[in-house]
Amino acid sequence: MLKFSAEQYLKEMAESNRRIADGAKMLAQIKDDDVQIATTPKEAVLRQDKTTLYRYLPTREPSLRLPVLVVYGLIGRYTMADLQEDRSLIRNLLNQGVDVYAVDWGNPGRADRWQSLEDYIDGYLDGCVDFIRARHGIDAINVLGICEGGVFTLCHAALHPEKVKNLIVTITPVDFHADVEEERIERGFLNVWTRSLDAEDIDRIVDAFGYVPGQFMGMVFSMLTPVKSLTKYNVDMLDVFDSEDKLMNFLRMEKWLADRPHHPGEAAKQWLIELYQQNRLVKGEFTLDGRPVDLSRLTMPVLNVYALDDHIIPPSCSKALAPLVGTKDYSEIALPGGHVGVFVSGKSQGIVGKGIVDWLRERC
Amino acid sequence: MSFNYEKANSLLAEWLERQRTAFRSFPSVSDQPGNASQAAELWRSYMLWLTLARILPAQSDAIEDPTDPLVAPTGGGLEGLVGRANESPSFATLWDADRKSMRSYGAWLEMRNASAAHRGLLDKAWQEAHRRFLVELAKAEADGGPLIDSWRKGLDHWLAIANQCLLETQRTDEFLQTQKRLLRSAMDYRLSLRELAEEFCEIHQIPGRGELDDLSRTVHELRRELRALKRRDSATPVTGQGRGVVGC
Repeated sequence: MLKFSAEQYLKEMAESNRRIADGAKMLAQIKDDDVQIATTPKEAVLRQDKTTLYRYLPTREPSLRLPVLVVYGLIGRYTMADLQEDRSLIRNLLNQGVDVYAVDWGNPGRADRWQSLEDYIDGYLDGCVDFIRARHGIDAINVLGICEGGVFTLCHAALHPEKVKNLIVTITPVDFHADVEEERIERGFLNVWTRSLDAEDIDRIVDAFGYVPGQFMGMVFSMLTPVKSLTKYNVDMLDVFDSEDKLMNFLRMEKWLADRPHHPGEAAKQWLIELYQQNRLVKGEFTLDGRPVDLSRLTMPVLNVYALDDHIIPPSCSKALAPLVGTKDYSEIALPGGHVGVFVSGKSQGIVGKGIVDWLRERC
Repeated sequence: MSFNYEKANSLLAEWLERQRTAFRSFPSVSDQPGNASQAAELWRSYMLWLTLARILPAQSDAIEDPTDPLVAPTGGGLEGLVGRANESPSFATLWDADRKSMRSYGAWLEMRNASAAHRGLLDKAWQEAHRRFLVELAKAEADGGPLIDSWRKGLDHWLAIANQCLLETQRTDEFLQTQKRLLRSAMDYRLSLRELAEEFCEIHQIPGRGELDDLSRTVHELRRELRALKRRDSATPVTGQGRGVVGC
């Protein structure tokens, strides 16, 4: 039923104009320096080439004996786990007495073209794990992987199970072809798009740039929500202009999105061809330096956290981990919300951090 | 080959006529609730570019035909000419730089055509969204479909339909193929520019990108070898040795 008058329409337009004027006024008063992300105090404790290991400064007495290492992937940056003070997985962990470390892969460029997943997983990540083990005088630590970083931690733990006490993976793809089971059209297009390319196309991108540009990945992600990508800076801004808080949240997310590093070339080929296209991990055919990554070697407790409305990594791709692990202590937390929403939405704050810490407490 | 002015003029005339119709359909300000046809006209008036898009099928179809001189204003023959030149046998010491330039031009032409074909496909998706929205409006009036009691609700409804149409299009083989062609041609063009840049660097004794890639590969392999050696020689964990480790 259609029920609105021209007068009502004009009133709505007037209200929209008022919001635009208010928003423009707010924007004029905000400087880029006012928009800060990843503000939780931390110190760099280890550098390996461009990779930096940070340790966050504790906010209270430790309640867990073993530290947690947060590992993000090479698509996007770890700062997503600490977007702002009231939306920060890192702060939530610290506030519950967890000793938190995080890996920053830096800004890979053309010179990092030949860096492969072996270098990141068995080199830098393993170096970080060893450093924390040595620093704390312990045999094994807790590791928390996010998205592509979740795959890194799965591979690392499968190759070095003795170094990982508990493994937590969040929004992590395991079966890269499980998207075909999804009934919702808005889910899994990233998988469809990657499979539509030939391996030579991915080689071409890497040949042409030396890496997969961060902007290129951003463009691919924008296809997952085609209209949202078009209305982001116009229609949706009307809602963002509701309040300064909303506007600041939006601008912080924009800052995180703008800081999208390039994906090193050889590692990108492995990620897109061997995993996304050939689905080798779930088939047990994925190798690092010739060593097979056997997920049945994951004998430590495993917690798998996924988002029910994740359009980038559909839940079916993450849930595929369950039958592959070698441990009987396998748990899942299914959270409402989307891919990034797990960490940055107001609703999920507390749920993720508390869920993870409760799970760890039962196992330490 | 010449530009098809007759076809272009006919398209332009049709577009102008449709613009006139759309402007005439602007409703006068009234406090009476609108009906479906008024809303449809209002919608058309705000989506003039889509009114233009409605005449695009002819163009979109033509885009897939690279010989159509309207959509390939430089003339389909030029692509053929460049293609033939690029495929001709090369000589050891003759026209090397010219061939590279010609290859780059051919890659640019292919990228432009791939882009036009891809845009044409997206235009069709927008037209389909437009059609579905008008049908929904008429249905809402006829059988009491979803209540649209504000302009914003109407806009959100339109955006939801457009999103659905675009998502459906993106999953078609046609879309995936045109996008692959566009990506491939864009990368080929970029690589052809690199080839030209390497030529310039060679002449002026500047290290080219290929040379730097070789160098970074050598450094990378040395680092890996060093890491493996340190691991083998060390009984304790390496804590990042051999990767430029600096304890902080």
